[in-house]
Amino acid sequence: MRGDRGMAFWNKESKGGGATSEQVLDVLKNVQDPDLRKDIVTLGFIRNLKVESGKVSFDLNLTTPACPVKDQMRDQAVALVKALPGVEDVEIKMTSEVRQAPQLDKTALAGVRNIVAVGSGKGGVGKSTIAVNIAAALAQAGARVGLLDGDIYGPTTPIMLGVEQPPRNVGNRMIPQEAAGLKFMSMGLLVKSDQPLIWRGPMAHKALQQCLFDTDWGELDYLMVDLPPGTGDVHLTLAQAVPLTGAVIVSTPQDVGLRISMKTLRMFQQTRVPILGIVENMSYYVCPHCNSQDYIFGHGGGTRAAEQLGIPFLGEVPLDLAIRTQSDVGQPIVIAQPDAASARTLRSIAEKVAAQVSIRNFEAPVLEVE
Amino acid sequence: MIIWADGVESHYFAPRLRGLCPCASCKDEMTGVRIILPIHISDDLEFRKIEIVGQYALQFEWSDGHHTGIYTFEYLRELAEEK
Repeated sequence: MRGDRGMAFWNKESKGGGATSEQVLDVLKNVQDPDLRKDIVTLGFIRNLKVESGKVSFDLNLTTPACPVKDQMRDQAVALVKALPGVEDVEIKMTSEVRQAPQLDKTALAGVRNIVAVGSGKGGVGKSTIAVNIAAALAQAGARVGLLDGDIYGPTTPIMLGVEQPPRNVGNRMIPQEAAGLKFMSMGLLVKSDQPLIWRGPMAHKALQQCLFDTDWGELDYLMVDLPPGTGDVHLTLAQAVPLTGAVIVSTPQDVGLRISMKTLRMFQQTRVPILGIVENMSYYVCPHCNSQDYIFGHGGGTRAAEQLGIPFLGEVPLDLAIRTQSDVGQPIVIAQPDAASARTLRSIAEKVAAQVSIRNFEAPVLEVE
Repeated sequence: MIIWADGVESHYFAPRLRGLCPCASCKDEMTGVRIILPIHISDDLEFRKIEIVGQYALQFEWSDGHHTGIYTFEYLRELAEEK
């Protein structure tokens, strides 16, 4: 996806005085994508540029619809082009095209652009809540999103998304359920919710492979995989079976929670899965009566760990009663109460994840076997 | 042969690579002592199949049927530099 890609669409003629296409592109080179650290012309983001008697229009084609700096880049582009002599009107259409992670096109999941794992060292840190809300927020922004609940022993996404019916089968493929604007698949859909799964490792491995490869995901920009806690069979299967774009680590601010999360992080590093960042959950408690913030598990643990490890810190999610109640009734808070403070935090985390995915896809080395 | 991202080229001799297989049946998991050594492998052994594992390793299938070894890129680089 280099800059020369849009060339064919560029209208080189300039009619009626005004600015030329070259001049427009020239000033647009001053708009940087802060995440990819290149200008939007070189990145090939400008498409369908038209310059006609003082009226300039083009598409700004970003690498994700959930771009956190979308408005900033658009406003900057409008201001710069408007300042050109002879330009009266600027019209920018915001579009996006999520890039595919290298190698993924050669697997059975060729229609999936990116697979992102969400993991934690121990259970109970709110991993599934974070995964469901990130997925729903990305879908809300306009991306095509799937969610695979990889926690085969304690699947919770069917409850959080309010759909517990088993998926339909077409041929030998399962049709994922849909809720909150996303497609999802979970062992919880295949097994009665009060029945435990008592499996040894090889069964876990097979179950994950089936949910991953035998589900008809169709075209997806992001497939989020909610992992079970720890570093077990499911993690290893996932890291070996598919090229992951990256992993998000969820932790609590408490030191012990963080230290255990480090193990999960190291496992991803050993299998060369890029760490997209740390989300700190249950960061503080907002008193519903007086609105004061209480850092009951300590403060700043996640930020410090991220700094030490040189990985992005994605945000602090408060202990908010509404997140829990919305999860229990099967409606992620980013959809049910989009203006709540915790929903805004989760949306910002989702945007940062999307931005990190774009960065990885520009940086990732390509592995080829001949 | 592997061409690394830094431009270095590494060449491998199939029987030696097979003899240094890191899997649990070729190298004791607890003690790290090698069970299979390069001297146990016949010189005419060949690669049959190469697959990428996730994004951190390669898995080879050899003409003797063995295929359980996962060679991380670090390990492959190390082996090339030892030579």
